[in-house]
Amino acid sequence: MLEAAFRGGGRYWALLGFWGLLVALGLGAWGRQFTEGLTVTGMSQDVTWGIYIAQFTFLVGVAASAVMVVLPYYLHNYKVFGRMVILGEGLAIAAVLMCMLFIFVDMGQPTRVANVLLHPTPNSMMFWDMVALGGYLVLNLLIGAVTFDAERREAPPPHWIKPIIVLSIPWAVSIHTVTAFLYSGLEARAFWMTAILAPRFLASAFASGPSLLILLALILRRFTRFDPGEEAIRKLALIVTYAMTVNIFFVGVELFTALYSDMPHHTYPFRYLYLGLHGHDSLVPWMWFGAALTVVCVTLLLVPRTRNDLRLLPFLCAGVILAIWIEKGVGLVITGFVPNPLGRITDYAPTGVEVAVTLGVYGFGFLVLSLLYKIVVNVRERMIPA
Amino acid sequence: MEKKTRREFLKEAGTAALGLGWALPLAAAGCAPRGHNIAGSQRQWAMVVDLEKIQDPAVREAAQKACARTHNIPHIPDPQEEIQWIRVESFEHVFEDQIHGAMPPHELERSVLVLCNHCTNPPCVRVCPTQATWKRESDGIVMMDMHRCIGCRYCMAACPYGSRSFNWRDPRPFIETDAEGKFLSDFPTRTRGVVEKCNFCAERLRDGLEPACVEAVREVPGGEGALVFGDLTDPHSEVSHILRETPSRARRVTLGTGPNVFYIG
Amino acid sequence: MGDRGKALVGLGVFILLVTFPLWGRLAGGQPVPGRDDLVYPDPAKATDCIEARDWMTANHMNLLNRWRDDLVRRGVTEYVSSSGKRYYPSLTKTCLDCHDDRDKFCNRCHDYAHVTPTCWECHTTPGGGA
Repeated sequence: MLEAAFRGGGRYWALLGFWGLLVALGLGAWGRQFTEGLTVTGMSQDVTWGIYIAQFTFLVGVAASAVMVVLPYYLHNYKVFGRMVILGEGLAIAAVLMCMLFIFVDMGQPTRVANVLLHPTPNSMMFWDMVALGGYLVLNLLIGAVTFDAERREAPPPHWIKPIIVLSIPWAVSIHTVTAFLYSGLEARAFWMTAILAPRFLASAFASGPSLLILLALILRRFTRFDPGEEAIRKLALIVTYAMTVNIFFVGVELFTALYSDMPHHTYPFRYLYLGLHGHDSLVPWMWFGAALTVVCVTLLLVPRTRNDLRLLPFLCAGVILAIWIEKGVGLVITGFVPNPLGRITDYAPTGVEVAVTLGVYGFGFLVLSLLYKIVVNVRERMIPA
Repeated sequence: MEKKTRREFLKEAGTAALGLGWALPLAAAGCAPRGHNIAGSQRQWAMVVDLEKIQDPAVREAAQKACARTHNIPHIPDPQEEIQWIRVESFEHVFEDQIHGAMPPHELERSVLVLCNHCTNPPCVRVCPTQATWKRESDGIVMMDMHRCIGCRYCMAACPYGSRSFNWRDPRPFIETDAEGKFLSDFPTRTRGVVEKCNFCAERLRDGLEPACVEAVREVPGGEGALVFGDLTDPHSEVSHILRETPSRARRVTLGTGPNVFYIG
Repeated sequence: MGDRGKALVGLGVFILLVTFPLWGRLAGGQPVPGRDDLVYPDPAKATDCIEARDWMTANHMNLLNRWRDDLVRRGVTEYVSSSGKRYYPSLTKTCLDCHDDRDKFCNRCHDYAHVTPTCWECHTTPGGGA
């Protein structure tokens, strides 16, 4: 079964080569960061987390969103997702690996990474995040491998896997909840210290993750003989629509609380994001672009005719992914540091090295994803009666 | 029949399980306030800063210089990479939650020395994933173990006072040396990739000395008592006496961190 | 089974590569370094180390790690050796009093063993020497 990953046409190898190139680029940049220190990044004493932690946050959501196909299929016996589930689990595996790498490349002393496990500290959310992510990776690898192997042999999956699948459902919710708690438990940062952060993270995750899954499914449909099913794609689009609508509601709730109460520490971050604060407005175009994208995509997703148009859908999904990426990957992390505890504003922009390392991590994630999907496609193609 | 029952059960169990997604992290959060390294301290070192006396720039410089020389603190020109244990900030920035529109500019622009507050309930200690920073039970100092720190900078996100600095690069080329190229103190320098901050001169206290800044300001004319250091749990200590007799303030007390650096005057 | 030849060649290359440190020096005609004799500090300063010499040679890093945690984390300011002598647990303030030349007492052996302890990235010799 695994050998399929090493057999493929020119296009497959070109794809792997492209990801490999990104990985090489990232490794080179990380080597420089490792020898010179994090001074090669755009981070500073005021903005101590940047693009790495932001990507980590975004990708935890993508990983968690596998639950949106796992839950209907296994708990509600929703057969339509039968061929989609394994794709969701594969995406979760790749996304968790990327999350771990993004944490790793952010560390000042990467050679000491084992300290987190050598000195376990239950009162730290960072410790729990590591536990939750590690566990989630193991769960998905196990469930994916066991169920897919059973399917390949056209046999039902073994009974002992069922409770593990049930466990993976709250576990998915918990990885993104812990990630939100990482931020929302800090009294020092008013922008993050809000109870709705975890629900907001989940809502946006359940929009961006399934969107990515739709795009991947459409790509597989186009380039291979494996078809995850049109109905499954449509159903996922509906999930994206609901999640995105709920996300807009949560953001609105957040905005109301901050702006109506008019407390300086709660309004500053939003002014920084959407209007600019004391002349610092580098994120403003991003945020308005993201807002416009959200409105357009949600409107078109809400109308059944446009939502069900499979030619338009990839664009809507890409729009949703980009909008959430801007929300979590650009706005959320940096703005938590504005203003700093002494009321000053420091802007942040990633450097070339940071961008290269980021691309490298994404390259690695998509390399893993390509290998996993190749195996799936290969087995499925063989199962289709000629 | 049996099959259906089990599916029903799975459905219910799964739905219940979904709702439990918050349970693991919440249980973890529950650990936080009584984490093993946030126990009550037997003693608590504290500092009282006299704002009147530190308006003299010579006093402030003496404190900063003594600190830098005692701890081999680098002087990195880029303010966004600078390492600061004790720094000067204006009143309006330090006490942002205590100023109002009717205050005169000279009030707002007063210079204030700020350093680690060695909080009674330190958020940095709560979040550290490796116990590289912890609250010492014997005397309440928030310590840093440079050997343990992995450089995740979570403590810097958690500190509401901006008291922590990260070594973005190797600090050694920026540390003051004497004519022979030797550092001015044999306090270990730091390496790139770790977080550092004021340690209330734990190494000097061990030898029965006062913190370097407290000693240094006393040497400056008019600096006597600009910084006073002592045990807050001892009612007869000078800091306890001053805080009993004089109106004082501390930074962002509503956050519940319990800062142990106080300001008078 | 057509891949058998390829697999054997691959295996050969692999073994050659991983054993490079063993034959590399010989092939290059470089002499294989022998371990220098240990040198001991001036007997005028001290004739015995914290613990027995042989034990210290093999285990000084473990003792230093223990001292580090004792002093930094546990606030223990005294180490009682097995012979009952008391020491202040500090590399710079205790060990380097006698072992006063880093090249002679540290680097030579570390170079031979190809270990690169990170102590000196931060710690100085007495008096602030880098």
